[in-house]
Amino acid sequence: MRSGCPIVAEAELSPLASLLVVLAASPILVFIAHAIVYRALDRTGAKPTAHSSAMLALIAGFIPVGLATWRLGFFDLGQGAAAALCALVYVMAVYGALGILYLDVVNIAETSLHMHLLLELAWGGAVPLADLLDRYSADRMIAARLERLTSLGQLRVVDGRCYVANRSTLYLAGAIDAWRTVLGLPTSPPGVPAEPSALDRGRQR
Amino acid sequence: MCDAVIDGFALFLFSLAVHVIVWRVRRPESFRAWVPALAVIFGVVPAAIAWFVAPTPLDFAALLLLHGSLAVVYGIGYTLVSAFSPSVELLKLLDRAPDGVPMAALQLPFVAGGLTTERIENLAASGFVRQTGPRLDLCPRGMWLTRLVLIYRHAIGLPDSGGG
Repeated sequence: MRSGCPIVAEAELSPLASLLVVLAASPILVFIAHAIVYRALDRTGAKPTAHSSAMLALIAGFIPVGLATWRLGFFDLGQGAAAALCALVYVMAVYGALGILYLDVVNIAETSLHMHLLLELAWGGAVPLADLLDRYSADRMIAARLERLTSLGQLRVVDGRCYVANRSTLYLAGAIDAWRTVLGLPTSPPGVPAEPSALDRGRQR
Repeated sequence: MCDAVIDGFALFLFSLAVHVIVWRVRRPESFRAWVPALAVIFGVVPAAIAWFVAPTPLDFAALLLLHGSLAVVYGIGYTLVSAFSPSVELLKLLDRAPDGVPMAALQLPFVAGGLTTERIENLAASGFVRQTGPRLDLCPRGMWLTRLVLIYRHAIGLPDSGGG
């Protein structure tokens, strides 16, 4: 409620300023939700990963942000449907972008090889280089990724054979490859032939 | 609000267009070259344009929050574009084999190469680690960064020795 006191009224934020503050602070909200969701899932024995719990936290975090936007009157159809739609697009674009940024932080803390090498040294003190190279062998790196991708539902293992279970990451990879082509960058790592994926094969058919 | 949405997306698309032109003309190869280039293309130039386009400081903030959040995500996401993710390459490998691949036969040639050695060299060059005889140790900068990441990991509840 707006105050009648002129001194306080001057200090009050306009609805737009309030919305910007809510959106800018949303990563803190997601961080708190992430801590709650991870612990709650862990207690139920659901074996959460940092990523799957972060995605649930992002969904949970949108509820208060959406409610705050609604309370600030941005979804009021009295201002016109176009204005309400613009507000929805604005909030979803900023919240979505900051959400992806949060997932990048999770990536750094959980999957980045650079960071994980530093964490190994923090956890175990000075380590012989040979031991570290052995610990980060190709086999171990593939095993860690198989576990994570299975947990995220991206692949499934049946009778010891691995299959793609969900194409969402491959669609994203296809978009990244397309963008690499636009920028003039190679689309496959050195030593790996740039074979067409099933997506490309489907398009060719 | 519609002005902020239209101007914000237009500013981001303009930055992307400049980025493509610059990369097509002369692509910065190293990390130390492309980070400042992206900072100028997605930060300095659009901020100057937004200052002239936005009628009030609050509109400027709204415009910059939309463009800025998209630009930061793109800037960090560019590492996905410039480098190759083992997870994505693993999925691509499986995608090329409709009958599946036995777990024991899964191999990624670029991971088997000097991926870890390359990362250790990067960390040493940036002053995060140092090699003392046969052992690898954290430098003060590395300690500071790991402390920060560990605070975050512990706040979430992630166990030590996990991830990777």
